[in-house]
Amino acid sequence: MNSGQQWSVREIGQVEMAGPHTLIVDEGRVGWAHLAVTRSGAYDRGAYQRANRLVGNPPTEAALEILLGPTRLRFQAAATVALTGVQSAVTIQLPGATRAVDCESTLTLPAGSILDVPQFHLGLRGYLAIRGGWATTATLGSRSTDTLSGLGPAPVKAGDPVAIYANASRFPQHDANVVAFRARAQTDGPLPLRLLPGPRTSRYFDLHEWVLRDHWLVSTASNRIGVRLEPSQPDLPTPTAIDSNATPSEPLVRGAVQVPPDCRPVIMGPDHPTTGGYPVVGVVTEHDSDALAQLRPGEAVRFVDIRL
Amino acid sequence: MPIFDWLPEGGEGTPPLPPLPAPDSVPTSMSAISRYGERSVLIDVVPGAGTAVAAHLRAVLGDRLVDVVPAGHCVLATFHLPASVTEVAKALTAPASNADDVAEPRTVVVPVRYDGEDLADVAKQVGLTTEEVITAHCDAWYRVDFFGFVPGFAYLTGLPVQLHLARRATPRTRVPAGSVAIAASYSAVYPRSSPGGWHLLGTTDAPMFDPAHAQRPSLLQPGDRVRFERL
Repeated sequence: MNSGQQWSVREIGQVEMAGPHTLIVDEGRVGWAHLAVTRSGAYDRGAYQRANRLVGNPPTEAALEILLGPTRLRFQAAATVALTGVQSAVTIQLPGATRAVDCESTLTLPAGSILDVPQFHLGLRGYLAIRGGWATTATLGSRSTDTLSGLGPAPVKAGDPVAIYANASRFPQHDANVVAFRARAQTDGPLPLRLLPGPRTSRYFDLHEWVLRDHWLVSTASNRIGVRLEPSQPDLPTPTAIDSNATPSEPLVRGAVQVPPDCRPVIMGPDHPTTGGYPVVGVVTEHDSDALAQLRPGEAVRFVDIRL
Repeated sequence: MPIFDWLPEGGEGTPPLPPLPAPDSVPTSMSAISRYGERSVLIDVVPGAGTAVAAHLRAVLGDRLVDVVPAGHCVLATFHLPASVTEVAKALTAPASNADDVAEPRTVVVPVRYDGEDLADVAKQVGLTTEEVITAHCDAWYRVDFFGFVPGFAYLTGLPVQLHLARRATPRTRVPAGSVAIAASYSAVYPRSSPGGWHLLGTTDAPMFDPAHAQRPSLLQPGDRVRFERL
């Protein structure tokens, strides 16, 4: 809770298995960019908010951001959880009984059960919210891990407790409305990313035209700092050389498309540096920046020029 | 393209600094305010004027803003709601409703032991003695121009021109926390250990950045005047 009140913490289970990169996230560190503290927070904000809504949490409660998958939680006490943003063959296991359950729905777990989340079929980042919120200490008003600066809690690992705030009974009852959502499949073709030109439209006119020319592939070097892109065709002509000495450091925003001298565009993610010295050709819309959270290396994107 | 025709203060670090312009004299001769995504705009300013423009916007627009981030020659203003270039243009020319809303710059003294690994090398490169380098560095007045690189890393303008040097050819993989360093026209203190390519002149024990202090995590704020005091 961000209300500043003291909330008592209740341990209700343990993490039995954590995926390769499981982080605690919330809406991020708001209002510290002037001190070079980036916002951080959930990458797919829409999925994060849906997860909280499905369990009846306030929309800013901390949840897990699970990269790619296998995660198993054991619950000593009953709990209400939801997994959003991805497709995975989730099961609830009790001694002698295993039941398949859905993503994007409210899941009620009895005491003594195990929530098993195998590797995702679709999507890259799953959001696991729990009624009562993931309890952990806030730093500068946020419980998010900032992978660039290291602010916030350490990544979640096997053996960690599952702890919630005990006052969840004061939250409104959760609504179990099914949220219409379909995880994107690779067969859907290149993901269109709406690109707002600017802020240096005249200076980087040619570079802006250049990124619109072709589609791009998500590089394996992508992370929460940024999604790195590679040309989909090796013979894509490179734009005229950019003199990076002539581009002074300027503030960056999430979604900004920066073109470093190696001509591999980077789309800034939630843990982006607050300033950068390479040309920015435009900004991906907030909605499409969320969608980038779910792209795996090798998936294709293309930019769509839009003007407000 | 610079748009504010006032001059940044400070010159090359000759104390004392002239006072900042009063809030009601924020200049009107602006031309470049650019949209930067859905919620932000970027405002070009004369180098050095960023912190004053940021403070003015904060005073006029208050809670409508999520962030106001000064950088060397521009200011980023991010709104909760979709950003409006017109609103920012109006805010820049509006007087702050209350002059107290634009805080006076503070003066912060940072005590330094001039024991840096690069002191002798810097002296050699700029053709001064180490004693002259130390004197030049701690006699100057600095201003916090902007933050970048890591949380709490303040770019301080006002480094005497005879100490201007390009960054080290090979950055260090680890610079200790509290290192007082220079590069190009800036001085800075590494708030925590990190990689870094600046020239190390000394060390301070001043706590530069502590995220546990949620009210004021950073010793320095944009616009602060800074002096280094030799220990």
